[in-house]
Amino acid sequence: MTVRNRKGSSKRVIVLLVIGIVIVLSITGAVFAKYMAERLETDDAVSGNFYFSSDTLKKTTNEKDANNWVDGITFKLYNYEVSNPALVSDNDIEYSVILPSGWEVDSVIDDNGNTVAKVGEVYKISGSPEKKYHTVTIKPTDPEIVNVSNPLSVKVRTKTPYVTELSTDFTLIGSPLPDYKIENNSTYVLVTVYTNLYEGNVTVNWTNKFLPNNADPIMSGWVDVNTATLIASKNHTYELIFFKTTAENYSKALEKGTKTIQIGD
Amino acid sequence: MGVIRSRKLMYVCIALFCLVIVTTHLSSGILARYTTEKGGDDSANVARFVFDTQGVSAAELDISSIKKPGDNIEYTFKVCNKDGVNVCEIAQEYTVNVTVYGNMPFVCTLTDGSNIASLDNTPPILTYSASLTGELAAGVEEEDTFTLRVEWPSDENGAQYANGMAIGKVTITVTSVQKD
Repeated sequence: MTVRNRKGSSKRVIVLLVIGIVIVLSITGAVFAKYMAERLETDDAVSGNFYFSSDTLKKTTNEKDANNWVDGITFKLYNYEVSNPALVSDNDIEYSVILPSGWEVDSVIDDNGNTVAKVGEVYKISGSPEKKYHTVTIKPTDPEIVNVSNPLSVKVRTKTPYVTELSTDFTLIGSPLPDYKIENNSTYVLVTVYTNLYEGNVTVNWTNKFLPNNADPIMSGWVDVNTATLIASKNHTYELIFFKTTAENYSKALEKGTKTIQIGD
Repeated sequence: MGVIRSRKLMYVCIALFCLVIVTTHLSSGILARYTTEKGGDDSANVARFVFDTQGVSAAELDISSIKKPGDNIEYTFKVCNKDGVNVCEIAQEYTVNVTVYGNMPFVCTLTDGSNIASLDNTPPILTYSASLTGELAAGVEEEDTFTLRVEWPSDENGAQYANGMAIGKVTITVTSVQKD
């Protein structure tokens, strides 16, 4: 064997060995690779619809006049958007009515005419996603002590499923108590009584310098007395004539908010 | 001179080849167990690797029922090394990862009975995750049970979430790798 042949043989052996090593390393790499497995699951959630509106209360500041408030103020609460009734809540709504002291919820009636019971401080509009509403009436506990110069702030706050608030400031129109004035005339005084929103007894007192006009059916029984009761109706004006027994002039400017009329000092 | 160098190189290559063979043989014993069937032919099968999760499916992982504050779901699933009749012949270690996306104020609790991973997305931070790890032995049927509770807390009830304005996505990823 020549030197050249020997060199060529060695080279072939080396090439074969290198190929062998590459093959073995490839197999080894496959064996060394770690097993791995993965499982993946996913799901989505989207919040449901919630609509709550009223014919009177709003989400923004607003004011309303309340006439005849002594008998109660009524408003409706809907589980849908009153301006777009297609938008209805998916879920029942729990709410509370927030009133200043001296006021209370008189009744809550559902759209079937049934009284809705309060659970704790909460009322529930049931039946979603059907369109439903409640009719809420609030009343003063004692109308006579209500200060009508202050607006009545009424709030309705939902508790579930979401918190939101509707409100209105009511301007109370009309006094809960009568007003009266006395005008002097030559032979009599004219007592004018404005009952306003008051309904009930008004006490009329007079001194001996005055005699009631018994020809008036209202005062026909006011004989030989110095006090009597006027049974007053709401939103009425009564004019009572008392004859003077002296030549003294007597008058009184408008006196507000009283159930007692005093004629003479 | 050249002949001597060539021979030396050849010896080195032979030695290297032998080392590779020996190493491969040893490694195969550590990383995977081979079975040999007796008979006319000899064959070698790579050890069986089985990993399965039971209960992980979109039908069961139903967070779409969460639509308002106070709603919640509880989802139980198992991680096991058995697939039907086949038990994994390799020890594995796995990670259960729960990731929540979106602005729905979820509170998630993942537990395997003794360990708890909690995720509180109140207020929402759009993406967050938590995980638990475990191991399954080789050749022995094992399973670990996990419970994932997803809740929309009732006090997270701002009206800004209503009417589709809150969206949440929960992803469970179970990853298992062969244990070293």
